[in-house]
Amino acid sequence: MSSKMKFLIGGVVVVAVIGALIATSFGGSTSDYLTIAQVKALGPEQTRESRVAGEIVPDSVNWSTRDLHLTFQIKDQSGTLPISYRGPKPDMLVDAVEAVVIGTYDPAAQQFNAEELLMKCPSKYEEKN
Amino acid sequence: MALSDIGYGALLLTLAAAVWATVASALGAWHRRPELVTSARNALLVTAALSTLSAVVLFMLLTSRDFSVRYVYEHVSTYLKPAYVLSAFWAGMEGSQLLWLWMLALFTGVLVLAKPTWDRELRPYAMVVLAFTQTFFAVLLIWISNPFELMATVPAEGVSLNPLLQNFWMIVHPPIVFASYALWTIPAAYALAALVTGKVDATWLRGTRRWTLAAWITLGIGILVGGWWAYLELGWGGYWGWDPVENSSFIPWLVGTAFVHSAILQERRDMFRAWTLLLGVVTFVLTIFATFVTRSGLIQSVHAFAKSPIGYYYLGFMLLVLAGTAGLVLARNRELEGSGELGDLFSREFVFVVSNLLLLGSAAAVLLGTLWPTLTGSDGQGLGTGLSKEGYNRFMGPLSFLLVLLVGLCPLVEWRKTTLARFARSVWVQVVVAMLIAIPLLVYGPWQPWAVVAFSVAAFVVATILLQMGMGVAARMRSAGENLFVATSRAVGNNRRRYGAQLIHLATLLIVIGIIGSQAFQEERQVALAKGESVEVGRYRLVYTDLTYQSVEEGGNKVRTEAVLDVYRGDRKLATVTPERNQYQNVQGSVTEVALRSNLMEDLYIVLASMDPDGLTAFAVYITPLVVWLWIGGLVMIIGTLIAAWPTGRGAAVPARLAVQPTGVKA
Repeated sequence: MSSKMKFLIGGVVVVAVIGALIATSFGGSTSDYLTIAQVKALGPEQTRESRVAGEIVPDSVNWSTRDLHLTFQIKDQSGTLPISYRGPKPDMLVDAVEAVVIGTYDPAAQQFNAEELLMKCPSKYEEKN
Repeated sequence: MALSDIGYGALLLTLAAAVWATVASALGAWHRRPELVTSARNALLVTAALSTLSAVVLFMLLTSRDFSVRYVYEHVSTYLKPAYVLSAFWAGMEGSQLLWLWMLALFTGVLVLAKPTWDRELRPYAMVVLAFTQTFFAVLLIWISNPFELMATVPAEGVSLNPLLQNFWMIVHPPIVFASYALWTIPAAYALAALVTGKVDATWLRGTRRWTLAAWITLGIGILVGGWWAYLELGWGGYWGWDPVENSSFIPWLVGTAFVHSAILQERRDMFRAWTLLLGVVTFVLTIFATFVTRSGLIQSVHAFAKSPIGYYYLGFMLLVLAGTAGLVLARNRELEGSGELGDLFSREFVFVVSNLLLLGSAAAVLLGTLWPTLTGSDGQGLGTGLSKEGYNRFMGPLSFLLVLLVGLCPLVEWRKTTLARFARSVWVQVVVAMLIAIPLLVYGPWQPWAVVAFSVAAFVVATILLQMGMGVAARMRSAGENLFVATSRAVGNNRRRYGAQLIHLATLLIVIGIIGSQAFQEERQVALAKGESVEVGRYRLVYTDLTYQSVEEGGNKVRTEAVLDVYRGDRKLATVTPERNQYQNVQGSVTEVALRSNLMEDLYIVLASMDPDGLTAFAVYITPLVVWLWIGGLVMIIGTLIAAWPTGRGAAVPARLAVQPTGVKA
């Protein structure tokens, strides 16, 4: 077998291994980006986490320092969603800022239990017109 | 005439000069008219001067708080601390774009000031690419994102800078990243020049090697500094979140790293000419892509960048460069055939190929992950499926593990062909070292298996590198009878590329160790304390003693509050720390300043999460092992690159064979 052939086969094998590795990572660790209406339509048997973005509803933020428990609501065009989050209150959590939550929806309690809470970081802070 | 008119006028003249430089260098190169090339060179010096003028004007406008200019109004205020006027310069799109043009014009100026040597034939064509890229940025600055745009009415006060960006590392992070983006233009320009002229042997790689190394290290350091900023300022105990903005600077770093290695392969063995060339151009295109990602509104990111039509201009530019390159590669098909012959699979050539594939595979996967929500979104709203952090870690972990393993194996495998016997002779010491590390970890540590494997592989690689470096020095000491100091400095001095590279690899290992330690063993504790209460975290005991409304700054905009905690280990008091939480009027939010106690083993990181009026205060405490090695690794990487790039004093281009010589046989 020529060297060129060997390198070609070797290269293809390496690429196949890398490809398989990437494919499995993408298979199991994704979350769905949903609108609030889509989240609310979810049943109790969610296998994957969802990710929802929305504006924080003014005056909805409630924070208990004792329990480190945060509740607030977000809204988009399709509705509003109550969020429950345990952990420190993030910087810049203020009315009308956009929040991204990752977690699961609890249809019985009609609330979204966020595992992760991100504030849209204004890399460029802009005044609202 | 207002100052802003001078800045804008300078941009217009920059554009005119850049257009002339593009046309004159192209005609001059094509028709072999040296006077046209000289004229283009002078025009490029003019763009360097004019873009500097434009940048100075913007800086003066920001410093003088001239709120008649929109960019000034949006990014500074009368109460902003003077040092942060610099961050304000590059906090927004217009300013950062001007910074990019300015850096590119300066580097181009430095390049054309030097007398042509090896690049007599290539330089005019490289100048076309550089001048054209400058033209592109000048067009954007003038028509799409003008930093000198005026306000309809002049406000009395500005919006000021986002408090999160008010940090020393945000003063230096953007210029470093944009400097690297500008620097990557130069190897790409020469790659295209090599294609046009058909001089696609390794000459262009040798000639641009220092520019490439400068671009490579600057990008790496820029990324690390960004991580350091996120660690200090965002109060989440982490430094990397696989956010599209982070990814978009990491992708060109991965491809650029592949390019650096592929360049070595071509220089040494004259193979993969087209491959190397393409990697050089693609790295440059990816730096443009980074801005496209963040500005196009294509991607959902936690960084809320303004949506702007500018994305399409970037897309057009990228496609133009890629199409041009593809066409030239096809046209130069014959010249791109190198003279080097592939050897055995068990050879250093194949190790280089595999490492290239691993780097490019990682880059492709990160790119795919970044674009995944867009690709899977069906309704055109960017809603789809996103890859989680764990998803990224699941491929990046094993791929970097394999890369690290190759770093250790590469020096033990020879060019063309290696016999198993020779390989075994050179590998057993390191294997023993790896076992010695792995066994106690398995026995004593309640550790995840992957971490044990990762640490023992790291030990294997570090042992290989140290042995390689040590053997050269030892050989000198034996043969020339030099002492340790002299032998080390001469061995390094005579083989700068080799020792520099080994130091860079060692630095990579330090960074990997920092990542493993901080990812696998971070402890996190969230707790609410009243004054006088304490909490145990890891080996530390934290006593919350006081909360003080410290001071009001920035004319009432910033109210600084700090909590005072005493840190004990056992009964011994180690320190008093003061995490802060500062309320900012202009963004109606609060920003934490973490308290950090760092040592070589672990970081103690305390965030003041919130405080109630009755004195109850919430803290988040993180203990992150080994994280400091990330930053130490960065410093070692700089030193390694400086050694590798240091001039030898025997002419600009380092002869390739210098790196081949066995270490330290001659006195």
